[in-house]
Amino acid sequence: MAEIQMQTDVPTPQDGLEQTNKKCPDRWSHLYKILDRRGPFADPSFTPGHGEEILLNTCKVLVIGAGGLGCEILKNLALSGFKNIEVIDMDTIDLSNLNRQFLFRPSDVGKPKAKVAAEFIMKRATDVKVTYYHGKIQDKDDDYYLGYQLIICGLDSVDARRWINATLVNLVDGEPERIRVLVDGGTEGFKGQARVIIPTITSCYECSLDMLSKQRTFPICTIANTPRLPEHCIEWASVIQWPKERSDIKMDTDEPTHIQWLYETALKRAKEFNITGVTYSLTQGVVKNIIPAIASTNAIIAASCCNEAFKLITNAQPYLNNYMMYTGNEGLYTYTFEHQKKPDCPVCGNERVSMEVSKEITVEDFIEYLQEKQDIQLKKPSLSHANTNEKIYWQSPPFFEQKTRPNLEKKLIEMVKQDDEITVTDTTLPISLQIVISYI
Amino acid sequence: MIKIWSIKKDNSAAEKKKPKVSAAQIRVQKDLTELALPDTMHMSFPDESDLLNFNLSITPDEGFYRGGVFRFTFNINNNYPHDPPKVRCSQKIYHPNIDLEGNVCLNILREDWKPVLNLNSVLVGLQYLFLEPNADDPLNKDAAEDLRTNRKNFEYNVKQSMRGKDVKGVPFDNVLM
Amino acid sequence: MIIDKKTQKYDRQLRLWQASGQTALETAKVCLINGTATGCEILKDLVLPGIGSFTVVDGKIVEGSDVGNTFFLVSDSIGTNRAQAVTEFLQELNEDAKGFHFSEDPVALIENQPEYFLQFSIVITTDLPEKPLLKLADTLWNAKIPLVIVRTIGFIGYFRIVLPEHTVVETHPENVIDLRLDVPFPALEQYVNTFNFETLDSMDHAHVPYVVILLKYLKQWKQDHDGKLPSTSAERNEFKQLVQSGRRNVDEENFDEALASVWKACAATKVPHHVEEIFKNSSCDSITIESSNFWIIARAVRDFVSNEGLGLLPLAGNVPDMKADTSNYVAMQNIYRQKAKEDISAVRTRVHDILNSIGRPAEFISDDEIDSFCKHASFIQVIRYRSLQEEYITEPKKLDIGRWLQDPQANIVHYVLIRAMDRFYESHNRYPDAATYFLEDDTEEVSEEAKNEFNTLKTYVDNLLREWEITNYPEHLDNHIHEICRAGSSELANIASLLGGMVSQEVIKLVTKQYIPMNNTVIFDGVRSTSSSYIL
Repeated sequence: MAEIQMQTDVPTPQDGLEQTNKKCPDRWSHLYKILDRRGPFADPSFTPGHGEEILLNTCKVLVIGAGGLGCEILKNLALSGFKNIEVIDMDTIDLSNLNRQFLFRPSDVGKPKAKVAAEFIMKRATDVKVTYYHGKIQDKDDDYYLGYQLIICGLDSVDARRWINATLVNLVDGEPERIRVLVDGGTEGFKGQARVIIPTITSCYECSLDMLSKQRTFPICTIANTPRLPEHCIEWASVIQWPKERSDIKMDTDEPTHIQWLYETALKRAKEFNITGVTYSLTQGVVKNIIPAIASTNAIIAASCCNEAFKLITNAQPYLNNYMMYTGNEGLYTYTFEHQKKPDCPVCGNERVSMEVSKEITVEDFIEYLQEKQDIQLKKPSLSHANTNEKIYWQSPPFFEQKTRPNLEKKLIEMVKQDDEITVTDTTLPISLQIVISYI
Repeated sequence: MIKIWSIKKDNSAAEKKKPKVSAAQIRVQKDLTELALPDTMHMSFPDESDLLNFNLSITPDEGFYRGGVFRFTFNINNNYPHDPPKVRCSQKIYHPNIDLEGNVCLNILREDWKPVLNLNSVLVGLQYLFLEPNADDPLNKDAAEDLRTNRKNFEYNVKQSMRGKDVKGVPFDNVLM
Repeated sequence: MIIDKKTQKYDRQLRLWQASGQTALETAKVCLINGTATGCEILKDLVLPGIGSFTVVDGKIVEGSDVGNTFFLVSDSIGTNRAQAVTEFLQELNEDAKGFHFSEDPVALIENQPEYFLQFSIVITTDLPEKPLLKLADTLWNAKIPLVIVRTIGFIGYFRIVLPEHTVVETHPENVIDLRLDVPFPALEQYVNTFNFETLDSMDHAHVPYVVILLKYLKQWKQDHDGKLPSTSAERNEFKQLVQSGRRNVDEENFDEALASVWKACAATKVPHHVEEIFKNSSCDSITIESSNFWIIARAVRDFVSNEGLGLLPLAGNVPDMKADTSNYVAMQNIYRQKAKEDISAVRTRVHDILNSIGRPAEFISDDEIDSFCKHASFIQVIRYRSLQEEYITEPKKLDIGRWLQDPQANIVHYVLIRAMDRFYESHNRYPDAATYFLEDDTEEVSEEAKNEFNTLKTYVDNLLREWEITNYPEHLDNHIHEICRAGSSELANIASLLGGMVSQEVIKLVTKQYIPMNNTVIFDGVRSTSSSYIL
């Protein structure tokens, strides 16, 4: 693993700490033992007695998701000395959350998760500041994410995870001090995983995408003509019958009357074909792709994430490199290993090179130069401007080839300024190549 | 190893922002720029800056559907290539594996999709549907039965439907322009 | 249909353990000894899914340090009874779970009134010293009540399940296919005979269920091979060729499925080894009025196997999805289901006979329970845990521990240290607690006190190793001794919560009798982020 040295910046303790200790003496005494004493496994650079200041005063942590994992994460951080926490979540509280999301009560149903969770933590653990944002992670820009030392993710969506992962990898931009560590947790029934992602250095979320279990899907001709399972009947109701019969209404899987319609429609079809097993609960499970979730697994994974966060921030122990898998349905097992970077990862596998070219070079000549250059050996490179995403020249499809062909005669400098980046795709590249251009 | 964490206060060096190009988008860009489109296929982008939504037309040069122009819409979500592209036929056509709503029964568009597949695989699959319609796994049962039981009749019905005529009382779109 | 609120609230867990598991959970009475951070985390993860009741037994008064690592305390709780304070906060999590507290020193309670604990369905201890622990373990063992012993220290977590016997029917295996392809029963054979492949049109041919394809060709194969199945890999390949020859075109997915299942089809259906072992158990031989339902049904199934079952377990009756048209699939599914019903009915008669012989009414065991047993018969589990007495006193696993300890990465080292720490406590009435590890460059002064703490704990480690006849002292132990001294019996919120998750999960498995619990010790190392399970 590459060595990254970061600046130490320890400010003086604030007065608030004194007050806390008066109201609650020895509050952090469990933590102090670890933070104030050297340990045989801690990094030699670990300085006893500094951890408290880092945790309590300088460290800002972002928690993404205030659901099953998020509630646990917030609690654990607050009890581990973290004092500045922000939480983002776009959801509102549902009754089915209450079997594990312990910061919420029946009277909170319908309220924003981020708000209720933040307020609960502040009420219970005094002197911890939890701010919240009820909205999408995509609403926030790079500067926002740069404002946190560490980001802990407890999400149930692949989409959102891929987004934050890509954002944090792109954030680095070649400068190690822009690295923001991502600690990611995920659960599914009795299984889960916790991992530490150090953008550009370790494997990233995108590298492991093929480890995801695939959502069960059925051939549409089976659904339409040869149903055998109750699931086939439910899919028929949602995929084929809904657009046919209710095309004027957008299906909302959180709307009980919609689930009811799907259930009844599926049940009718099941009866017609002598298929048993269509229930309301199964209908809901299939159309919402419900993944079972319990308090226990969330607690294990969230605690593991927070344990890693604590170690990363305080240096009191070595941190996880970089993946822990957990499974609890048959006995209780963990598997800890170093997940390898994927060379053709579209997020962190992009190669980046600098090139010096003449101010006079045309796009066409530049492409020819790329094809002839021995060390990269491209066959039919397509070029886009990495910063504006504007197409410079695309080999395919013909629609874009024709549109970009006039650019071939232009000088490269007309389209790409000094120090701008070009994204190149080519059959010979695992995913893409970034070229930083400077002119001579 | 990462030792001590602190925020770099001065972010001015980060002024020049890269746009948020998602992993899905980069992958689509790679797929698109490496496509080898045969003459029988044509792609168009209603919004040139949006690579995730586009149209495809197929003009088979052999088989039952020779001479028709068949139009499809592609919608790719930000989970590509984890999720397959959503492909629909935008015309009402008489085909054993495409229903009257435009649903397409192609295994790699649903149950057999994997991230190692790409847009080229989908195009090859669609083209194959027009050359070798599959009568044994029908989506449009009538058309499939027609093909299974009476190829001549099926061929006639396909031709009728492509001209925009009714087949068994069902009107179809003219695809001969 | 209106789904009731409770079903909605528990929806995400009901998908794992269904209504039957939920009912078991809701009737369970759990006792927690000591409302520590870890103890509260365990209860949190049991109260949320709706455990029937919980009782916290704790004689301590809340201190500031408790508020620091326990989410279920606030600074105003300082000075109050810890049992009551945490119970009130835990109760807020779920009104369905009833919380009770008993502000009494558990050590004294175990000493003076151990029968107090017999009212619970499961007892969990945190932070309980060795002596009272052994006594409690003994009491609960005799009453067959599960005990879970939990420890957290610094970055280390440990827990142990103690229980004479745990039986599981609903183990939730991932693959439950039992198609009897090698030994088709008469109704299935008759059904296969109704197919004449040659006369089918192309669509019907592409929709013949692969089970029918395989049975058809296996029958042909057996006719040509003295009634034997393909057994060698050459024969299986030859058989594949035979199946392949019936295929009309490459698009026939049912033939793909058939070919992919050839290997399974040629494997003989038999009673799995672990189930045979269960049948050989003495509990299965001698059924008395004391016998549990599990053993009564196990005996009935054993008798079924050696009689009308013709050497096979009752059929589960599940048919996986496969390429087929609806009517054929449903017809075939019904044939399997019908056979399963007949098997269950035969087993039920046997269960009733057994019940009658021990003077129990037939209703003593419900039909649902018999059904479930028959459907899961290949996957039933019996776990016999070792007692704490055996582990600590009569039969410590000397050889295994000695062997495991040689691997510096193995988490068994933490077990040795926890045991040594307990001995330290026995004589000092406190746990080791000092900074004993310093850099080798002599920049820091090492105090006498620190040296002493390290050496004292090391003496207890040495004693243990001597008792276990482990002669070669593993060098890596020293660092772990330093780490235990550093941790000074601190309980970190993260480790407490992690253990809370693990322990609650195992408690849920024990009380619902679903899924397979661990046997018997799990150790988590939060420094390396690894865990291990050992039979100690």
